[in-house]
Amino acid sequence: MGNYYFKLAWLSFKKTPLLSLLMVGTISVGIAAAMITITVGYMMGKNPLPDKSERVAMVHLNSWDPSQPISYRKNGEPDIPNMLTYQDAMALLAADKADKHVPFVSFNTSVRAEADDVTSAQTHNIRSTSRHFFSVFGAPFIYGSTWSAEADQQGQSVIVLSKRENDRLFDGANSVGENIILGTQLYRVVGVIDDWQPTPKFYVNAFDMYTPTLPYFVPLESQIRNNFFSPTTMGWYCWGDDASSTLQEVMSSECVWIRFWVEFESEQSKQAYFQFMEDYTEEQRKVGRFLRPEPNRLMTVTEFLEEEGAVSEENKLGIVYALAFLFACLCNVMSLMMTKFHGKGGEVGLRRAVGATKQHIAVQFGCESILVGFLGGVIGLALAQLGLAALTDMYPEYHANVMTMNLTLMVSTVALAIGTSLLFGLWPIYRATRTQLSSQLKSL
Amino acid sequence: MLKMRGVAKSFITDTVKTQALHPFDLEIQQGEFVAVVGPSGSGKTTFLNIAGLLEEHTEGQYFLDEKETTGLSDKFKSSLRNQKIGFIFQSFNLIPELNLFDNVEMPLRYRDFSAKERSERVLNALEQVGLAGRKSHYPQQLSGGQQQRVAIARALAGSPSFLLADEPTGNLDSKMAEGIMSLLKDINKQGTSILMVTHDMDQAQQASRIVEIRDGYLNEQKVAKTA
Repeated sequence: MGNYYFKLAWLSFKKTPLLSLLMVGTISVGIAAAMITITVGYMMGKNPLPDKSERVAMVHLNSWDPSQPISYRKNGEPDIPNMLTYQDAMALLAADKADKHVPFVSFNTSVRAEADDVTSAQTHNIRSTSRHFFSVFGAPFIYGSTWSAEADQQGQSVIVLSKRENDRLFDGANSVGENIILGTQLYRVVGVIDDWQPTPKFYVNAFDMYTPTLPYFVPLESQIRNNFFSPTTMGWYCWGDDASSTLQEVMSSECVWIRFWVEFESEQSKQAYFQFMEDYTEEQRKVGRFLRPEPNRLMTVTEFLEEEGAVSEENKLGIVYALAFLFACLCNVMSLMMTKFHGKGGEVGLRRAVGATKQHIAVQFGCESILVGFLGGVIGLALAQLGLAALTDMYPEYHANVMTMNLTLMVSTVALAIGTSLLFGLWPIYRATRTQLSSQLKSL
Repeated sequence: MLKMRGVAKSFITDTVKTQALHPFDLEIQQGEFVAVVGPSGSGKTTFLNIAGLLEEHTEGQYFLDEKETTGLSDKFKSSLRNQKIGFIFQSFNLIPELNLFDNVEMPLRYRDFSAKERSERVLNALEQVGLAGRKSHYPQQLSGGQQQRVAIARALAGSPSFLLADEPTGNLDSKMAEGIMSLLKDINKQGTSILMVTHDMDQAQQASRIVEIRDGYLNEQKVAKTA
């Protein structure tokens, strides 16, 4: 019977093509506008590490100036730094209380393959971190793997690069064992990661969350040993009178510049780690550090995204406006459906006369609403893709992932169109089932 | 087969009560061909709508195949219309975007027939009205008389107890009208009862009984008729 009703729906669609296309067009425009904003909001706010977002956490230690806070939170309370000093980061690493530790910073330098001419060197941002960066944040390897624990400890000159850079420097070949020159230092390639873009890029602050991932990764200790220091791009915050003109001065200062993430096997380990942070703070107080009253924080991925405001208020407002626009479109569709179904009063009268119940009529027109919604959804999906492509061009500072629908969103687009078409078709359908039988039989 | 006892119909609007049909008794047996005549506005269509369960009567009792229809649910009435009554309308009421097969099949879609049984019934009904060869054609490709034949096939496909025909030749020229009347008489001879509303006394005379409605009153007509 379903086939029969959809056949009738298609015939009805063809019978009044202008009216039908107007309904489909109205739905598709509303759906496209809604889904463009929803896509951006959804992709910005979705959990980028769903299988372990509660077991991966960022360490915030309150090692700041006792006379004034580093900044204030949205609620007006004093905030604490979300980066660590070098000495605190090294102390936490040495204590080894978490299952995996990921300290990281970044620096700028020129990069070229050893075999390439010096004029081909390009300046890139390099991520200096630990060997666990890739497994904790989920970066997949296509060649090789991360570096060894010894490389971390000894600061060996080893490097992992992105697929895109591997394509550029080595034509996409397996480059493990090849050499790359960073500045004047020779680095040996140990791994190549596939195209990888967590959205949002949760491990940095909100400002950088939608920018592309960095293309090169080296051990943090190798940055220090090779003295890579780029003051304009490293990003650190200092207080007091400590000098910070060289990397060594920054390392020995109270400046905060190292982000520090940890991963645990269980929730219990996380609680134990927080206690360790408290104990560490207490020890430091004895030597005159950590004198501010605000508590430390161990923020999970979801807590950090919330704190950073991964989805801005403007985005949320945009979604509200887009849904309001969709609502207006659907009200118009409802009005058009009323017109269309009213025009089919004669057919309803006939069908009722020959035995159709009100339910039969409701199902028949319900299928027609579903067909209109489906077509509106498919066209809306195509329009949304065009809109997102245009947005990608307009906002190159955001990674394209933010403007890209995943399968869930694509299916949701069509489902939303069908669902809302059916919902807003309920009143016209109800009215159609109430058609006065005897009065309509002369009007077919 | 069809029995009405004290059936009447009135409409009440604000303070005005309009009596469309005054209480009447009527009984139609299986195999009868009854013509209903009367001037415009006399209540013929209201009577036909009540008989066809398209409108509810306001007084009295109406039995269809011994089944009391008063106060039945919409679903039950729909089922009775589908199984017991075949409708033939003055303006044919075919759906233009459906071909003849699909038009005739329409009532069968609301019954638990298999696709095979539906197909057999549709082809038999089209055969009966002489249009089996044109099942894939669309209504607009047919003459008025042929369209009314399709409407008759649609009414017959579900093997109803009786046909309700509302001015079945009203939109046809005399030659086509004659053909339709001939077809209806053939159907009646095969045992299907027919209740036909008409303005045309010549056609009414071809029925086995004539009932006249005038000013809402229903009476058996006294005029002599030719068989």
